Amino acid sequence: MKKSILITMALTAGMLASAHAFDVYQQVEALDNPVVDASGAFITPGNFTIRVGTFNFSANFTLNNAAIQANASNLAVLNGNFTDVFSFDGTEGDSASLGVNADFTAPGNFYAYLLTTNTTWQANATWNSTSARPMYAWIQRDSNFSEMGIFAATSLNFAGATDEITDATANLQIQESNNALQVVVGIDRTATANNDFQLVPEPSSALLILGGLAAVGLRRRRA
Amino acid sequence: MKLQRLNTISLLAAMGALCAIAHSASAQLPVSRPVGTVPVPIIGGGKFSGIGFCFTREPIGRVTVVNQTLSSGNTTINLAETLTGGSLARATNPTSVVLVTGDNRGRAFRVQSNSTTSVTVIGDTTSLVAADAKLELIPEWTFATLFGTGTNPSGLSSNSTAGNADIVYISDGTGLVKYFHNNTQWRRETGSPASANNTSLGGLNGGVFVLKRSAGNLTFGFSGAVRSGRQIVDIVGPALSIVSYTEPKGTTLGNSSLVPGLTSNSTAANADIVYLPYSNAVSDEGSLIQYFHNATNWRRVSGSPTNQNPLPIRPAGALMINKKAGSYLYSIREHFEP
Repeated sequence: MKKSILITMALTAGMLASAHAFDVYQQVEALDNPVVDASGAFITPGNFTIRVGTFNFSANFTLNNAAIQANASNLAVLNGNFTDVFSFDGTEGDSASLGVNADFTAPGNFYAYLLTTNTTWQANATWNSTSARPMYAWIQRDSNFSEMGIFAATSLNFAGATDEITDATANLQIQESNNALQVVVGIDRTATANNDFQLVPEPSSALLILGGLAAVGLRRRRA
Repeated sequence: MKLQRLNTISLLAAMGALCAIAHSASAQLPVSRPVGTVPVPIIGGGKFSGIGFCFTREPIGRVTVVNQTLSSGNTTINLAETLTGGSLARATNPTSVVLVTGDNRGRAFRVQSNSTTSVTVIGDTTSLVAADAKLELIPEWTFATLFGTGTNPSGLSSNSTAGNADIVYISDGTGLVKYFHNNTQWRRETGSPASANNTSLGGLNGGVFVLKRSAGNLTFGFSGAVRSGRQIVDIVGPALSIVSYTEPKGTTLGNSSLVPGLTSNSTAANADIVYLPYSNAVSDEGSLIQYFHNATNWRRVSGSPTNQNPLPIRPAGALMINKKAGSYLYSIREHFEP
């Protein structure tokens, strides 16, 4: 998948070599606060995939997020309404070259960016369609896709690559100081020592657990 | 060759400007003033380069403030010397006055117009210009005086179509404006002025970013009068602007003292952004790279988030700054400061 992206980029760059090209960065990072899995352990490279793209339920950011939450237990629906731009698992490394660069800098901390040129970005119909659309980071455990977290930020769209000065960089920073951050699916655990962001188990499982606890409560009350 | 032409232009302009002060003892300047030259690389092939004004044009002279009215909103500075009325009109001879005495020495005000006994400046001077303060009158860099006016000025490509010409970005206080040389003269890409040879390049502490679309690199020989004493750069906000690092030797981001005047924040969206046309990677030469101070150190907005404190602000460097709120009077570190 990554190889095909690189080939496409190389071909496009060749076709548009005479145009004025500039670098475009689409970035996601969690550097100040770690991300932990549903059990509270730091996510690690090679075990989780972080998909960066956009959800297409609604053009309205709030309604889009509401639809994601409403369908959080239905992976098929979520996948059907998601446009992938790039993904990484932290093993890519950062060579600052065209394509995906990513690195886990500390337990639970990572950054990744897709480096393209404006001409490459605009020539890619899928990518270009996400311009001016909200950037989402969808983190999933490789062995259980239902364990996940979804993050976005108010007013943060993919860079459209239309202007080198104003539209060449987008960075979704998953951290407490980002007041625009939206934890669409997951838990912002401000009370923990790490002030971390936690993935949640499969919502259906969570509902079962809640249901089970409720049943226990009822039985106790009846007893 | 180019340097000789620039010096000639500057000399002629200075001679003309000197006539602005009709008679004045304090208009005398030292017979010998330090001048300097810095070679500034201009990268070609659709790349950006910055030119910061570490030199000025030849100053016109010094004047003394008298009978200053310290009232709110005052923009008029009364002078002991007699000027030629209208000689400092912004449209034809853009000039600034710089305070060289007092607590606010180093601040520059852009002259809007003048009478025989006063200058009217842009900006409120109420608490800044005291009676008996000394001011220096300095012509601002214009397209004509910095680059020249002939075809392909200073090696930049002229073209009647903006999309085919090299572009010079300057700031107008609210945002960036693009200019190009259309084979005949400098002009604004859109809007007025269509004739911009005498347009100021953002004042004494402004600067330019050049987008050289044409292939091939240039070395721009930037020469002028060496600035002396404290320099205070007005970074306006909220706005995207271009300012100069006025100390010729440059500095580093870490030593720049840009913070706390610029807002630090660990989230780039909440911090002020500094654009430089390079990074510590050779492959980024000529690319606009964004930096912000994350309350601990300088880092890139995107790409590897490593500590960028050692990154140089190069000699004759220009800074493109997105100041998101408020304004900042940025006091440049003088050459004797570490």
